[in-house]
Formats: sequence, structure tokens, C-alpha cells
Amino acid sequence: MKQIKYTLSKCVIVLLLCMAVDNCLHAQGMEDAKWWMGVKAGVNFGRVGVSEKYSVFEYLTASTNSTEKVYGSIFKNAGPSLAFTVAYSITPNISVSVQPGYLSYHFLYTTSYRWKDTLKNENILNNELKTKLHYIELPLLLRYEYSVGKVQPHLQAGAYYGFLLNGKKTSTAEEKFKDAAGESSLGTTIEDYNVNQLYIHSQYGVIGGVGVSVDLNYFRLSLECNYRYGLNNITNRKNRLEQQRMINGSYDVPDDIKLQNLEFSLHCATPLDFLIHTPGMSGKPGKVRRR
Amino acid sequence: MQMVVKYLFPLILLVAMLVGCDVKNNKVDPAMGFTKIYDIDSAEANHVPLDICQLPDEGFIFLGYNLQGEAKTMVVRTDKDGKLLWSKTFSQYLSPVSDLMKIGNDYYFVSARALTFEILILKVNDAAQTVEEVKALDESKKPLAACATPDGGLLIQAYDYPNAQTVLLKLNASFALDNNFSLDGKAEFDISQLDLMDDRINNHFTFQGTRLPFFVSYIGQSSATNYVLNGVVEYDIALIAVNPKTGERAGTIDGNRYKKCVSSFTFLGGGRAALSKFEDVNNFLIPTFNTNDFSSGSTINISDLTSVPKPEIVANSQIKSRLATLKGRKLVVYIAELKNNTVGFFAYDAANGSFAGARYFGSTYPYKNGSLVTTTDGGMAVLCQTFAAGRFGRMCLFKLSKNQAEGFIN
Repeated sequence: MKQIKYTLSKCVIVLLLCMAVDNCLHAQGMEDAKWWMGVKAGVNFGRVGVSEKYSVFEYLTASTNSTEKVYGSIFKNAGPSLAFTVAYSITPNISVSVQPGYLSYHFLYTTSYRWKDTLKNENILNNELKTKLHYIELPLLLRYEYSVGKVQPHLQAGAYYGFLLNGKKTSTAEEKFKDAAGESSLGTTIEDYNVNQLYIHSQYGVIGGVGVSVDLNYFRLSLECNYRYGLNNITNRKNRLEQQRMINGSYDVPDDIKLQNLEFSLHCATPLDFLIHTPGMSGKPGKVRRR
Repeated sequence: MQMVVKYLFPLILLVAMLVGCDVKNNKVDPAMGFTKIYDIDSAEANHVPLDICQLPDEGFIFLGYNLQGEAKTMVVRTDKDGKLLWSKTFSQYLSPVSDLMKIGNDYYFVSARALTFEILILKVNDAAQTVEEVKALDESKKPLAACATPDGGLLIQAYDYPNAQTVLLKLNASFALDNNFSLDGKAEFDISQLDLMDDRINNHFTFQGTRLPFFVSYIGQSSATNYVLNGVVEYDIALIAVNPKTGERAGTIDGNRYKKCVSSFTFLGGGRAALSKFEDVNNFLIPTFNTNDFSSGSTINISDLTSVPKPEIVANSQIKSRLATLKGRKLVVYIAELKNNTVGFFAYDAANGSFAGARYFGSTYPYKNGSLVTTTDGGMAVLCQTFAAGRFGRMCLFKLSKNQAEGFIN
């Protein structure tokens, strides 16, 4: 949460700077820009696609316990994202952009184990495991847009590559005892694990989204919603069992997973042509083209 | 547009290379290790492992017991990935003893019949997912330890309460009492002061008290030149070398009551063995010991076996030693329960006794009662007991690949 606030505050500063530049350039309207540069910031909600499940437990008899993890709802997994964008307009409606940036994927899952005695008392162990994986990402997008009055809705699709910077997993284990008188907590243990070795560095996938833009003189503000769909398993199969403390303490063995997320972001771009062709610089002046 | 192509193409190429290397290498090694805990819902069950064997299909059989009042025999069968194939708990067979023995193509163990406590030799019938009685010894003696012998037979150490004796029984390959061993197929050693030891032996047998380091083994490779028994003999727990023809004592390492004694023994060949001992609260690993000193009729005082203590091993730890070949080296490995609640693996070179490597198994919740087997893929499997949520005794299997196991060795 602290990290999200920090990232958002940085985004606000960048936006304010953009607006200041916008005011300076307001008087000199330009059209037909080919190159665009900008920043975008937002929040993403992570989820995972499980391709193979793993558990440390095998049950000797039919059990009411499940060896499967219950993955949390996507909207519990908010993480920040921040990117620098460069776009090139191929035609008035179609552009291609590269958006290198930082993205933090969050996902959580829970496990629950119960041991009952003959008096129907229950010993309960509930684990909640929250993972945060921080990536440098490089998306490449093709965008189609058209004008509807003053706004330009757009569709975009492409692919991305992510490089894992680091990861952390927080395990919250609560032990409970339940009898006829009710349920009582025996204590909660919170532990952090460095999970850099549990996941491979690379992830890649496809990305698609929709958005709407509005031109404010020399800046284009866009509100976007993108969905990333990871195509490769990011769990390091060789190191799956390397964290003995995690396996024996939280009974956690990571599944084979592919990352996905739903991202909402605010994108602010300015025509690069205009900056290049301002008086005193070489080349002829360009124009902002309203597409 | 040319600029786009000029910059984008190398970028895409770079990304493709990065992805290619990382993703391609993320394959599952077929001999990869795993960790499994064999759980049930019951809060009252307390599963304790005794021994493990690997089968020709690379799966595993565990012998253990469920200590719920009585120690009911448990057999668990898994595939090579540790997935359960079947498991059974036999309330009619109590207090099983280590070892789980491979004789021919079958797996045997020794247990006691409920109520009568007569010694039973049982065979695992994997196809029928059960065990079957092979032989019932008609004497009411309590089994304390067993091992297979090179001639296809087996040795059983038993406690004969009415006569206050530790008894070594030798069975031949047909599971008949071996009359070559002595006239009635057994060697007998007085325990002497019955009142001092009886309770402790009983507590050991019923798994209700401190476990004592009873075991049987042998000196020799293709045939046994001496049988070895670690049991209560004349007041003390002593390691006895027994003449395989006459059943007479051929040598002794004399302990001191149940406070100082040998706790494990593995014959290494070439007149040497690996031992461990405990003296009060201290444990000692002795990777080279000259068996000629011991089997030539002499008596050695346990305190004369010199070694430095291993302070990490808990007092009264059950220590097991096994021969293993890892990284091309013949090793003797010890498995012991440690003070940090893990199971410790200590390897020594079998040729010269030099330290070769160590590793701890487990974390957070306690781990104890370990046993070990080397696997056909060049790795090893460590079976031990853990306590689920810190409370419920369960069997736990650590399977290590060849690379992982060899990583422990210097």
C-alpha cells in the first residue's frame, strides 16, 4: 500500500509537470505530429492462471482437507504501474508504441487445514500467502483510434516482455481451536520470504485494451484499461522446493502459474515532433494532427 | 517508418533471446526432488516412521506405526513422485521393529501379534495392498529389532521376559529357526537385574517411553562372520558380537546401564565399521572402528571409544547409519534428531572416516525419527516424522535428486 501511494504521488508530479508544459505551449497549436512521447501511471489488479497444482500434503485416507490453494479475487490484488511511452503514427488512425515501465503484480491465495478429534473438536491452520513480484516490462502495442467529437476512443493490442526485479511473499498463518464453546485463536504468525529464486526472470504475454483520449492543446490525456495475459509459466521448476522454511512452515509449494492482470491507467502524451521542431532547432515545424 | 523498423527490430530480437534462454531452461528434471507430508484429518493419530525401501518401480514403501494407545503397524506405498498408492494401518499387528527388509524380491518386517505379542514375520503384498503373515514364532517373546542377513535369512532380537533374557533368533531363508546357529536357533544373554531394566524394555516395546537403541546387524559381506546385537546384557546395554555357528559371545563393547551405549552400527568392509554412541546427554559419531578389536573375544569399555561429541544431536536421539555412494564416493551417512528440531544428515568417507558433508532436513515445526535410503537415480530419500501444525505426528518424505544429494558432499 505504501508503495502504491509512493508511485501515485510520483505520477501526480509528472502530470503536473506536463500540465505546466502544456500551458507554455498552449498558444502555438500544431498538427500532424508523427512521434509522441508520454508517461502513464495506474493501478493493476493481478490474478494468476494455474497450469499445474502442487501441494506438500498427500492424504492417507479420504480427507475433508483440500490440497488445493484458493486464489483470491482479482480486486484484492492491487499493485502500481508506471511507464514511459513512445509512439509513432503510421497512419492517421493507427500508431505503434513502446511502453517500457515498472509493474508490480500482486496475487494472494489461502490454504486451510483441519484436524478433528473424536469429540468433534477442530484444530485449524489457516494460511494466507500474498506474493508481490516487481517487473520491468516492455510492451509493444498497435493502436487504432478514431474521433467522436472531441474524444478519441481507441483499441490497442500487442505483446509484452517482463523482467523480474525481485519478489516477496508474506505468509500469515493463524492457528485456531474450535470446540462446542466456540472458536478461539491460538496465535498468528507473519513471515516474509524472499522469493527471487522461486520465479524465473522472464515472462511474456499478450496485451489488449480499450481507452479514450482527449486532446488538451499540446497534450493528449488518455484513460486506458488493459488486460495482460501471460503465456509462460513463471515458477522456477528447479527451485520450487528450495525454500524449506516456506514448505515446512506454511506448507506452501508454488503452483505452475501464468500471470495476468487488469490495468487501469492515465496516460499523458505530447507530440515529440513539436519539441524537436521548436524554433532554434533543426527541421521544419510539424503540426499536431487531430485524429 | 524506417526508424521504427531500425529500432524495433533489434529490440524484439533482444527480447526474444532473453525469453528463449529463460523459458527454455525452466524444464522439470525427471529426477527432481520433492517433499511430501502424509496427513490424515485425525488430531489423535500420531504416525511414526521406522524405515523406508525403494522398489524396482522407483516408488517407496514406508514401515511405521500409528501410536494411538498401542503402536499399530502402518505400511505406506507411494509412487516415485511420492504420490500415495495405498496405505494400511493394522491394529492386529503391534509394535513393529526396524528394519524393513528386502529378501529376494519381497519386503518383510517383524511385528508382534496383538494380545499374545508373539513374534510375527510379515511380508508386504503390494498387489493386494496388504501384508501377509509368513511366520509366527511360537514363543511369547517381544521383538525389539530385526535385520536381513546375507544368506537370505534374518536375525531378530527379542526380549524373553519370563527368563529375563535378551534373545537373538536366527532364521534361515525358509524362515525356519536355524539349527546351525545353536541347538534351538537362538542365543541367550541374561539381562540380570530384571527390576532395573524390565520397565525400560517394556516402555520401549510399547512405544510409551524413552526409545532404547536396540538393533541387530552383522559383520561380513557375502556371509556373516559375526552377528551383532545391541541389547540389554548383564545390567547394561552392550554391543555383542555373536559367533554365527555357536551363538556364543565373541566380543563386547560394554555400555553403562542405559546411559552410555552404542547407538548405531554399520559394517563398512575391510575389518571396519561405523558406530555412534551416546554417553549421558552427549552423542558421538565414530565413522571408523576396527571390528577385529571387537570380535576377537575382547571387551571394550564404551568410554574408550574416543571421538568428539556432536553437540547438535539431542540426548536420546535415535541414530541410524547407512552406506551410500554419492559423487562417486563410498560414504557412511548418519541420520539423527537435532536440537534445532530438524533431522541431521552427516556423511563421512567410508575409506578413511573423513568428514564429507552435512545437511539439515526440516524447518519451523519439529522433525525427528529419520531413516534414509539411496535411490536408483543416484539421489536419496529421507523419511522422518514431522508434526503438522506443531502437534500431529506425520510421516514426511524428502526425496533428493542426484544433483541435490551430491550437493551436500564436499
